[in-house]
Amino acid sequence: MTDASYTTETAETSFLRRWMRVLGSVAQRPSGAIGLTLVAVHIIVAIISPWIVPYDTVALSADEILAPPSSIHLLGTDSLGRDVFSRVLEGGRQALIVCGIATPLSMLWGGLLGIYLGLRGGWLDDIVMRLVDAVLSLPGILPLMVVVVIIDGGNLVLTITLAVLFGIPVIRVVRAAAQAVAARDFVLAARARGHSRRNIMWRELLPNVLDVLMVEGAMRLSWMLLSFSALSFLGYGVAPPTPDWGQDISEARVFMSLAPWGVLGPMFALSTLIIGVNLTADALAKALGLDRAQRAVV
Amino acid sequence: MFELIVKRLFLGLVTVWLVSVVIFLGIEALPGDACTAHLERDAQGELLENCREKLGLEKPAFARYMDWASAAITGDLGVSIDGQTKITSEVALRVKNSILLAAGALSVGVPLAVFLGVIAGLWRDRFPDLFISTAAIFAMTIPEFVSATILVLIFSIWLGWLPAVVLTPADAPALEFFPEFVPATIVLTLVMVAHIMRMVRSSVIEVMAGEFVQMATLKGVPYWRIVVRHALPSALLPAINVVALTVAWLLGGVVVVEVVFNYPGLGRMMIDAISDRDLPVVQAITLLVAATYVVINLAADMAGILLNPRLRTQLGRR
Amino acid sequence: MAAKAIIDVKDLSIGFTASGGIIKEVLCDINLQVCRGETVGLVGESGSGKSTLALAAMGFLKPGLRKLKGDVRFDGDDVFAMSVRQLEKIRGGKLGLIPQNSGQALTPTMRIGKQLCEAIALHCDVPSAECALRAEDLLGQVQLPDVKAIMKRFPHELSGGQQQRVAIAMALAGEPEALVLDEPTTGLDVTTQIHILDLLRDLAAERNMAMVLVSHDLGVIARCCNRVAVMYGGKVLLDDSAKQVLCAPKHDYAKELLEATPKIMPVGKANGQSISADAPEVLALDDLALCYRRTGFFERLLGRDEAPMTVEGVSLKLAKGETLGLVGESGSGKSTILRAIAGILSPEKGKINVAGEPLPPVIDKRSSQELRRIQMIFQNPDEALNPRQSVVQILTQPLQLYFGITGDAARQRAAEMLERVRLPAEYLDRLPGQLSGGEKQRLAVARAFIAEPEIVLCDEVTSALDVSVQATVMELLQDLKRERKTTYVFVSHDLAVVQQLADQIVVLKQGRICEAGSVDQVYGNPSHPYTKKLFEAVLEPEPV
Repeated sequence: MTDASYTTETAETSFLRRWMRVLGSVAQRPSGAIGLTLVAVHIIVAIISPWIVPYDTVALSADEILAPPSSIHLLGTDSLGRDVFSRVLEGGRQALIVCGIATPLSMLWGGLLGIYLGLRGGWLDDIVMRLVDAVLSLPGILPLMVVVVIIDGGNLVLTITLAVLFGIPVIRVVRAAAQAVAARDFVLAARARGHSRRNIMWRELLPNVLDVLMVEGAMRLSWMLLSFSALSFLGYGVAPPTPDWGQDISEARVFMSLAPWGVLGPMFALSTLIIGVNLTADALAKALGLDRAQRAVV
Repeated sequence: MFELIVKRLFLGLVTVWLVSVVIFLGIEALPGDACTAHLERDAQGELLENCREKLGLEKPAFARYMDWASAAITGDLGVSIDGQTKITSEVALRVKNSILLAAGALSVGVPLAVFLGVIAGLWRDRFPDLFISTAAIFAMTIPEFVSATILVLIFSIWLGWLPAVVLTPADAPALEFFPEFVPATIVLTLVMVAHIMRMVRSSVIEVMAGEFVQMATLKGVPYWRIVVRHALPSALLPAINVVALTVAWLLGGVVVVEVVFNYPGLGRMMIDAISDRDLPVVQAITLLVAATYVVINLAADMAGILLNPRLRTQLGRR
Repeated sequence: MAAKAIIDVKDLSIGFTASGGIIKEVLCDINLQVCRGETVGLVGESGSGKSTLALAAMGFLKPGLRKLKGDVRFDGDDVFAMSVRQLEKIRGGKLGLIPQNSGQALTPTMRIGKQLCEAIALHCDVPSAECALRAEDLLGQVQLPDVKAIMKRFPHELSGGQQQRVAIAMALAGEPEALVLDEPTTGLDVTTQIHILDLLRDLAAERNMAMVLVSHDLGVIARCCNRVAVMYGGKVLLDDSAKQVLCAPKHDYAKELLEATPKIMPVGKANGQSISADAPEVLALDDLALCYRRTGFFERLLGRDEAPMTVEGVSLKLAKGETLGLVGESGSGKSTILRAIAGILSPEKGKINVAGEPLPPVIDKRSSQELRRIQMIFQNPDEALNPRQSVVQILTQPLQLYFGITGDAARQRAAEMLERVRLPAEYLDRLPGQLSGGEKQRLAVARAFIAEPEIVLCDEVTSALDVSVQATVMELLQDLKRERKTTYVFVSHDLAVVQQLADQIVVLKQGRICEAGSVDQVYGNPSHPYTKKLFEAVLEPEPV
């Protein structure tokens, strides 16, 4: 299409400007500032860790088993003599890569389907929402575990499964938001003018549902990291010996009374990442005025 | 109103039926079948054929679904893949244990969460709220296995006050799990309190900012009377649904905590079945937990309808 | 003034701290005295601070606001210096409040009887056994029927008018000497409004109460008040007797306000536009019947989707350049008819003809040209404009859709249209949120007219706007109509507004036409009793 010259251009700049402003006001809140910092540090560490780790994360050392923290091994060594500090530095990579890809995917398909159903309504909406209800009633991480155990496909399968499963609650949330927008007069006006459904989804609904989708995405990322680490803790996540916090915690728990440093390091790293994502999501909801309590008072 | 309750019940039934279809199709969609999954590398020749014959896998999918579903309705969840255990009786034991755990967490957690939520909501953005809300974020986000590990490290290993794992067998009477189930209860309570408390807090803030609270103030009603008589009935109604979600979660989703503390509940059974690649057991437990979830949410909906005068008459009129 | 004022506001300023530590004043040096037996009207447009002042009289400030200087005395005592205890005693006791929206202001989880008894028990020394009797007595005083049944109801089970009466009874429970009324009839139908106002006036006289009545509507003020204070931007511009303010205001702003307020004109004077008899027919509705079906999965499963008709048997004809006024109270089906013409709601029965051709009932079946011919303007511009689209996007969408004009040509057309509705071309790249209420509505008008429609459907287009803004929008519609010979279907509950624009009138009651005819005919000599009732309920801004 060649017609979009002027109008979309202005829309895009104001769109970018708006989100920069939102990011700014997230960073201004104490919770947002802490959250963004934590997330940023974790992402940077995950990217550069292969170059900064003091030791090879998978190198075994028979004479340094369960060594306490010292100047040589900052956080000591684990039951196979591997350097805990190095493994902590690299232990978040898998989680961040998998969840970092799966979250946008889940937002994309869940969000688009949600907007479509919210606008369309009718029998299709009835049926899909019943199915969504049914899937959401399945217990916790069980579907995820079953798929990962039966299909032994590593990170690719895990990413796809996470993207599919975590998109389902997104459908529900976005559909509700889209329904609310679709009931407003400007959507009615667009329908009365005779715009196509695709046009209305794209121009009228999406820009107004995007806030909800972003907050939902941030929350989903935090849940996804939780699920990923739980899976890994239970032994179905990252294949050993690749370092991963959940798995390292589970291995080090056995020697916890002898060598507590083995669990403390990865636990600290994992918790700070998830708390960081959560604080950011909270601050984002407040900055966008989507926090229920906030909205009631202002 | 009667009609609406019938309608909800019907929709609940439809959902349970859909759940069974989703579970069945989900398992069908996995590559291989229950036997190849269980036998792994040995899945060939006579062994595989015997297994398939035993489970009736030769029949078409529809017939197998009908067999499974009709048996499930009568309470027969089938046998495990090795043919050793009747799933129903084993599940019954585990359900009892899971209920014990859930009851422990709920009896402490719900009142505590409501209390904290109301306090945080009324003192919004001031000291008690900042403290409670920050603590809630930690309790909510720190993975259960991390908080469980910290708990064990401090109270079992360093202080030696609590047992680190449950050693009581699954079929022991409920009383024998005390005090072994205490650490698991504490971990679950933490997460649960955080969720319910946040919900109650925002609900209280929303209601306290409402017009009828302002009106009551300008009618000369004393503050605490406004809180208790005018605001809380509206503010606590939505909490019913969150509590229901929590109950459902406690009864089926607490895999990690049960594994960490070696607690013989439904979650443990589920994970054992998964690592044994015992699909019949997985299928049975999933159905049971999902149906429980639907029923509990249905109950919460009904309670909401009965307690909310607005919904009550709206429905009565139809 | 001989009598001692019961409410005495002196040099009162109220403000809040805005971002950057700047103190912004919401009220500025207010002086106001109200005596027993006197009703003072506070009138002004939105943002004038009238509600803030009324609530400040009760010692109440919305969160974030604080008193900067001055004081408010009630019966000699400074309300801002009172202890919480004293305030609790006065509020709802000697000083009662009747809120704007009783549907929201009554506690939804408490039965009416219980709420009333609470008010009585708090302020009167009545043994608890007698509370219920007192409550029933009060409900009787506000002329509610079947008080025993109402005592047992929840607020949402009452109609808007009944809720308002309950709120009045509640204010009377403490045997007040003064009442604060914050827009007490906004949101009520006109026929209900007049009853409530008369009840209040009688009660005030009977009990020799002082009343402060906040309203944006000079008609309401005129019905009840002895004195009027006109407010603007947090200041009292004029404080004078009602007669003076309504007949010969001594302040320019008050004069403008009075002039902008729509009034029903003597027959023949309005409009003055003649439609030539041979003008072609543009729109015809033939025996239209409409209803909203809410068919869920379950209803369809049971084969139960019968809904009562909201609108039935509506037939009418409109010539080119003619304006039809559709009037009626809320729920009379006037907006529903507009939706059917726009194609959003498909008729159960009957036909819609445009220029003699039958119009397909649903949007999907209508051609681009058929769609272009009919455009719609909505009540609330905040709802009708997408907050995430810039002005130029809003205006060029119809151009692209109907004429295939895009890019710079479209932008040019949008700028011209903007100028036509008297908005500067710089607005093109703004978002609706950066425009004022009146500007937004003019933008909505521009969006409708840029499609070069033949029929424009106006759904209560002025009722969300302040009167001064209303006047400019009406003028704009008037001009565009003359200039382009556009046919309007103009829906409004306000008879005075309709008269300014309409040639033909249709009065609707519960989805049926109860009277139709030319403006002069209907306004000059209403024949149907319901129409008569509607006219009687119109509040003119003239002293009673």
